[in-house]
Amino acid sequence: MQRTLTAPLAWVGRSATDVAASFGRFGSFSLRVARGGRDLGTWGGLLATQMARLGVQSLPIALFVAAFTGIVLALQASYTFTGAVPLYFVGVLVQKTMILELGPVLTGLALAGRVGANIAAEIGTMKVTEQVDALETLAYDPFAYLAVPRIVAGIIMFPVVVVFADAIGVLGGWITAVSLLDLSTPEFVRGLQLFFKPFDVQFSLIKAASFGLTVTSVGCFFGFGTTGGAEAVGRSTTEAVVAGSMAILVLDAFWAAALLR
Amino acid sequence: MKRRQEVLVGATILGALLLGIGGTLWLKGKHLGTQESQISARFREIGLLAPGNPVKMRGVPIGKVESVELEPNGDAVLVTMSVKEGLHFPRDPVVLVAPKSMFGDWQAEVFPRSAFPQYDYLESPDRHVLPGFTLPDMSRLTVVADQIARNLAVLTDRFGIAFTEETAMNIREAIDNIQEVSSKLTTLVSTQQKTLETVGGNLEQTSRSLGAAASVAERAFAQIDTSVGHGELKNMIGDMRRSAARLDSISAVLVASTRQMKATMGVADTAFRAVAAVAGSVQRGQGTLGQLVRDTVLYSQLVDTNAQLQALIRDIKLNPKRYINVKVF
Amino acid sequence: MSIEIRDLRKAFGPKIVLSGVSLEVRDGETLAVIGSSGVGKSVLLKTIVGLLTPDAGTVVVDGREVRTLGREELYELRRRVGYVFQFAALFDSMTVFDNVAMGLRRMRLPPEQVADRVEEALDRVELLGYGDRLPAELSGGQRKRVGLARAVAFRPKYLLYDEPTTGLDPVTTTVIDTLIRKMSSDLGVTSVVITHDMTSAYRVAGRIAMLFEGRIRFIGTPDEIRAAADPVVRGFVEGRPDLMQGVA
Repeated sequence: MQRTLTAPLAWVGRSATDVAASFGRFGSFSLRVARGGRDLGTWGGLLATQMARLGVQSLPIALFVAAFTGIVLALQASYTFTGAVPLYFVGVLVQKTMILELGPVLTGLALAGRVGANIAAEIGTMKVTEQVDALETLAYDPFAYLAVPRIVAGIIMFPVVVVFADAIGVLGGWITAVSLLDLSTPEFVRGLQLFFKPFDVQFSLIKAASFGLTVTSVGCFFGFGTTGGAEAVGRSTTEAVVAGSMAILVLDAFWAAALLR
Repeated sequence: MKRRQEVLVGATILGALLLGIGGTLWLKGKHLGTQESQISARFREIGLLAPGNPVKMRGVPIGKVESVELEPNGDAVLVTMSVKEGLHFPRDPVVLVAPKSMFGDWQAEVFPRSAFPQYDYLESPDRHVLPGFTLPDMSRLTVVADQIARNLAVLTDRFGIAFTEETAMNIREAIDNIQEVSSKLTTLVSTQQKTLETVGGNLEQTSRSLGAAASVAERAFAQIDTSVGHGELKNMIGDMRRSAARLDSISAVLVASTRQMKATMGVADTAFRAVAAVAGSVQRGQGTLGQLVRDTVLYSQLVDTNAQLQALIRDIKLNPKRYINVKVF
Repeated sequence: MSIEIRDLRKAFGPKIVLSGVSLEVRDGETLAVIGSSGVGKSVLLKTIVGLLTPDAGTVVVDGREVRTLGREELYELRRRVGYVFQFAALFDSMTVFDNVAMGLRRMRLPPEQVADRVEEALDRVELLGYGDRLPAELSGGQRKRVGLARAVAFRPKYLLYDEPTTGLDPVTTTVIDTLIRKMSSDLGVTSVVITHDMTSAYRVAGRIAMLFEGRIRFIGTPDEIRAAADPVVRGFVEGRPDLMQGVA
């Protein structure tokens, strides 16, 4: 009887402790990564490879997502605006939505799946097969060797990918507007330029860089946290994707609140 | 392998840089290679004008608003604009700031002062800074119209109070008194005529003049008498009330609906014409009515309101697009 | 100078793995640590190179306590201690050559010298000419030998083997055991071999220590362990769980 009554309390207590412990672990993980960051000699040479893997190889998926997002935005905008708002506002909506929100966020989510999962699986596998320990015995700091180049590559390459995604999204909207809607190129471009501020691009890039930091850090964190066997690697991978995606959405709201007011 | 990756990454980053910078410049509306020069204008306030808004001349875009700054003492706003170089501005140019559409996008347009001399442009001690004026937007216009409607409503009420039965009686009594005085004068003159025959010539002339004056006065008062008697004034007051009510409803319509703008324009036109007619007829009876009513406050308010209305009507007629029939779509 | 372990304790959460292990590894000897799976043999080995931090007790290598070492000092220590992992723990994405060269590159040796020492290490494990292969293209025994080559490329003073023969066929096991002895004699290294394979232990070790329930139950030469009267030791050595039951 007493057990049934105290069970919810115990659950709350345990959850709170777990959350606190996770933050604590992430904190010490961050510290070790920061310390590893000073070891430029170790990670500097690995950066290009990671930039190619996380960035360049992510371009196809990011551009695919962006192109279709642009198309859908243009169609939905024209559907919503019918009769009430001038059609060139399709351009406004495509530009604003793509650059401010969907470009970075959808790219971030797509890469949370691709990059975050990849990192967690790779480091997780290395952890359970003792390759991380092997690095240690060879006098390498695994955080400097594995985490730092991935995180730095993420911070640099996410904005790069997002620039392309923004451009392709707008282009997709443009082609749709001209070919499927009764909109001419000058009208669409007028809409594009109407409320554009250079800050929109900065905002997009700031978000992208923070997403890059988050997705790669979370991937590394869960990768290094893997203990056990192949099943544990699978679990870490899933957790990395879920946590990365959630972090992106929370960060997205944070940046909107911090910079768009 | 590693070198290939480095080249690939380098090319991607470079591509993103070019795309980012080029795209930003293009979306900003800057075209590389076009020369631009800066102009400034000074305003009391600038509505919702913001950097990036278009600058036009004769309706053609010629540049963008670059910056909007409050002057250090807070009395004026300095707007800096970049425009295509080598443009010839009209003589004595001024800058008018106005809403471009209903969606909060504003614009600045360069005009010769002679195009709209009626506005109170804010002059600048600096010769290179153009004088500027900001037109009110829709919401402000409705606020003004609402104010006028309220004034009219107050006026008509006071008209109603002033022209009670008692007032009419008093007016009639006064007219009777004047008639009596003038007839007494005539009698006096005719009795004196017999005894003072020698001075007759001059006096006779004087008395005729007096008689004429009396009859003129009589006619004038009779006019008022009939006005009061036949209810013309009541009609006038009624007209005023209706006009005020219509103006009130216009304000409501303006705030509530932008789609029926054209219909509203028609209603407004009729309403303003009716108000103008009423105000005009009151103004024509200026001397007698003004004195008789002896309510100078009421009178001056009526004149003020009339002037306000006239100005509003003139503005609306002059710039129907900008004021009432704002081209929404 | 050698490795001295005193009263070492380590627990993972509620599970106590080591509860007061004391052990001395003498200079130049090959010590085998035997015990059932999951008894904490790997944990013991990992605390020696600082991969795991003990809850209590000390590990002294060459006169310095591992736990008190700074990061750079620890790396310096690890260059003196080669570690051969249970499943070799080769870096999957790298060739055999790069795997062996990893530690050497870290020491910032010139490329020619790295190449020479990789050749030398591969030669020692009889895998010359395998440098361009990827780990996935190797058999289990070959992978272990690459792992060994990687550990000896530093020319270490100590070699720690974590289950070097687990999962290998008897022939390959013999090959690995021979290599372990060869390393010991050629390089003069002090070795600690963790195993649960008694044949291997007898073959490579000068002394054998048995870990049981978090402590060293027995330590002695192969002959001594064969003659041991302790039922736990006898049970393990002879592979008779019935003897070990009910004894603590």
